[in-house]
Amino acid sequence: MSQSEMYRAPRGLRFLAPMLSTFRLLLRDRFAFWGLTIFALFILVAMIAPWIAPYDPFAPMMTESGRLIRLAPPSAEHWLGTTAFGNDVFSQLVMGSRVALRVGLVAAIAVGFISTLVGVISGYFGGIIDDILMRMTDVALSIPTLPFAIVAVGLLGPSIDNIILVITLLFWRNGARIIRSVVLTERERVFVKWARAAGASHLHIILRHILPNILRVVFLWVTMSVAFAVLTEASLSFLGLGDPSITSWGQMLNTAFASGALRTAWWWVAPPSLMLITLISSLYLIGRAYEEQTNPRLRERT
Amino acid sequence: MSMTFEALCTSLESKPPVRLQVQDLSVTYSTSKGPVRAVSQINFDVEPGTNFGLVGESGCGKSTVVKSLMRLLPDSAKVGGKVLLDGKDVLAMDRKALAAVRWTQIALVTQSAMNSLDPVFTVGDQIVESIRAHVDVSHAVAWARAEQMFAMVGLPAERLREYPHQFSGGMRQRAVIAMAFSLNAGLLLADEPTTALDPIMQDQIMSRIRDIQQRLHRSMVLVTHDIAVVSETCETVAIMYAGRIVEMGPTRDVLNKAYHPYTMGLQNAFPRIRAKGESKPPLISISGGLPDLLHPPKGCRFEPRCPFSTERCRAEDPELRPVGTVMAACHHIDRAEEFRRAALKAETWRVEEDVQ
Amino acid sequence: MSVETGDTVIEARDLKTHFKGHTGLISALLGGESETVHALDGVDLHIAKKEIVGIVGESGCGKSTLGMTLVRMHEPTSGNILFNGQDITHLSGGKLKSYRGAAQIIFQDPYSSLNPRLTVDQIIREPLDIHRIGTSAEKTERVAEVLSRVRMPPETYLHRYPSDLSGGQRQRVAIARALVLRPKLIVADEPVSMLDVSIQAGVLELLNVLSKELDLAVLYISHDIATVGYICDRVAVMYLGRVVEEGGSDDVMHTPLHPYTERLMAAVPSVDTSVPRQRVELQGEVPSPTDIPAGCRFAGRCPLAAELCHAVEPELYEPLPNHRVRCHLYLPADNDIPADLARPEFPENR
Repeated sequence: MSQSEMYRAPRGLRFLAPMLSTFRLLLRDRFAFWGLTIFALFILVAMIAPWIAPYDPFAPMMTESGRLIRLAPPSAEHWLGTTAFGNDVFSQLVMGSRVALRVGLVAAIAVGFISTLVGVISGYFGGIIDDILMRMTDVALSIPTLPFAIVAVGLLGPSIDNIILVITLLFWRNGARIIRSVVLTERERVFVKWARAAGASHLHIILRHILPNILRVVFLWVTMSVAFAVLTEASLSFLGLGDPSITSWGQMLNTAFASGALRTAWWWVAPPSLMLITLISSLYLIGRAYEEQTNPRLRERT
Repeated sequence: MSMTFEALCTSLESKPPVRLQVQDLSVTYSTSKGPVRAVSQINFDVEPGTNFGLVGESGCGKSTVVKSLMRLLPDSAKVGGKVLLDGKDVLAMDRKALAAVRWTQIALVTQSAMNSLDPVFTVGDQIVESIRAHVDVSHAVAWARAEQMFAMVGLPAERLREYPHQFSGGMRQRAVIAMAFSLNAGLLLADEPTTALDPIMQDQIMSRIRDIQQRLHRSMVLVTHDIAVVSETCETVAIMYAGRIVEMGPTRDVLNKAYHPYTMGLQNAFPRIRAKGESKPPLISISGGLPDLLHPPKGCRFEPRCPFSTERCRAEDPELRPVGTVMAACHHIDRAEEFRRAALKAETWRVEEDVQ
Repeated sequence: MSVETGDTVIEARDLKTHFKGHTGLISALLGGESETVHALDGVDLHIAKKEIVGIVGESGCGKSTLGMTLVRMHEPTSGNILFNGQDITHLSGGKLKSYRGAAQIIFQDPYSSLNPRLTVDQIIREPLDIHRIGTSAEKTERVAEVLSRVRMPPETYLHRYPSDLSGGQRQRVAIARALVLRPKLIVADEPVSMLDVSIQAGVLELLNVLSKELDLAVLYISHDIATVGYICDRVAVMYLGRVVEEGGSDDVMHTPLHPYTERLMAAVPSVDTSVPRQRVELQGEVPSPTDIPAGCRFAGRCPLAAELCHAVEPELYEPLPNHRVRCHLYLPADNDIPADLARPEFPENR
């Protein structure tokens, strides 16, 4: 496909063209297409979760005789059975997708924004600014991920916003390095040199010549960050540092573990695990397509 | 029992030059849009001990020819025809036979010397390595040979202990040439060996190559876009256009009395230093671009850019046929005299639309 | 063929651009010493309206640095740049921006000098956007005008992307982009060296025509001496950061005065082999620009070098009208150089 086809966009919406082309690239790649479809399904489920979930995820299920239905296997009333506390697993699972995606998307956008900002400023301006920002990144990179997350959430209190904050603090650092390295390449392009010689401002050069050409790498990093964020949230919740007022998949596993039902109640343990695996895989499939586009060596091999 | 240095030199110097015969060579790349015929049915011979020039512009297929001679093309390329090295077909060889031929019989020097050298080894070690991979000699003997080669290309022997990044561009190119000559291969393939270099360096390297070729009586295929270099180096020249040889013959004859309009156009476009007092002739470019090799034109491939084209040129693809001392692929060889005169005028080549 | 110098557009006076070796925060803290690269080391040059001046020399001689310094992409270390008689050496801010509009540069690589994500229209319009010139309709008109000037029909090319264009067409777009601000000076840094021979001519011819039609001063930087002979009115030969010879292009190419120029010209291969070319082998390598030798910079490789050459750097002498050379062979009779230093002499066969 020639470039003119790839980037044809309505006049007013030209600035969207690079994004559009990035999106089209995903549709062309078979794996990425499936990844995208699965991811879209998750989003759909999360959006309409309150309407699909048959029960309140925290409501104890009672029999007509008023007894708590504890650890019931799947049945017509409770598709995925119940927990040790008599909660409906299916409802928890569906509502849990909201938490996973909220954490994933919000944290990834924040990570993407900070990494791009630091990476672009550092790579584009270079010199002392680069030195300072990159030494900060080095320090950030030396922080061990999980211990930091545990201590930070422990100190700040286990709320979903704090978890997002901690994840953002943890993952901007790698992104900044990656984006800086691509900016370093783009900065040396002749058209960037030309723009400087023509009197263009730094902002003009960054917006017009640098950002559109690194967008793919940014998207790759954002996609990967969604996966990291979802996994980190699940890990923290599993360790008991999740927000107790909501249900997340990690928390489901945590309660299953704590109540000693991990080996017996498969209907309680398997669904959140499978959801996590499917969601993360779909993101990796999307990421793979980006990586192939940004790394010519991978592209040649296919 | 490994050889002494003297024995190595004697055995290398007594190597005969190679006769190269290329017969009906065709190369087709399969792309996502369909097959692209990069080279179609090329025939040429390189007599032992002579230099053969392959001239053309980017995309004409000259580098593909060189790669197919060394069997360096990717698997997606289908190669047809024969490449005979002293009668043995390179294209039909198995891996073992091919490995035995590369470097000992055919050596390759490309434009990007940077890629030919490994940055983590010293230049000397790499030359020694390539010698010892093919002949059974001790490290010391191979090192002595490397020193001899460095002296030949005008590099001091102590530089052998340095790494490629410590060399300047011109020195690196000379090191690669030293490596190519180290086994005194009977045929040297030089693909734009000096294109990226300054005039002084280019001149020095070309004159070194010429000296060695002459002294040791080697054969060479020189691929370039520079007709001046070819004219100073090669006895025979072939002009390529869009995957075909359009004109071939003794260099002097082809360049003095061209029969193909493309050759004439190329000469017009080629800047040269004028003699003192000579008026400034206009540089004339050939308008239009290479034909799309996915859908090559039915007739002559140069027809869309040719100022002399006729109905017949559009309909029928001309064969390469002999005329005088040369061969040319043009329907109107008989009108060459008239073309040559018209070709010198800028108006002849002027096309208003669609500049390249 | 020398053009009157009354219309001088750009002039460099003893221009020097030195680069400090790169130092990072850590090495700066550790007090690492950095070497200074004398890329441009005292160049005098002027270009008039309608004039094309060629700069030739080997890579690393400072010819590209000269171009970049003239358009203020590199900060000069000392010396002056005069543009239309005004000193622009240390302009900054808005004044520098308006100078950037008047002095444009064309780069060597047509494949990376255009942003692949923009159309030809957007690319040529960009300088007008940067300098906020004209309304949208005026911009459209000017883009179409410069495209026709570089002989690319606007209706065909406006909405194409660089990937749809050949190398020659891209270089024409780059020229159009340089012209759209109606500059007075164009620095063309190896504009055709990456193009095919059969299309080089068209681009060179275009530069030539545009310079005359639009009153442009053009600095043509190239290592291809043959092309210089075609379009340049004057030629300056650079060696290790300085101009060693300068004069009308025919004079320099046919009667080179400097021993270096002589060797440079002799290195150019010739199509016509009926007269065998007199090759002259040049010994040694160019000295490092971090460690400039005393005396004449070429003395170490010059077969004629004498004691004087190793001790004192020659001035630009003018042994012939409008033909200057930096070589002690042409030392004028009235000089104040100590007589006890042995002077170089012309070889017997000259």
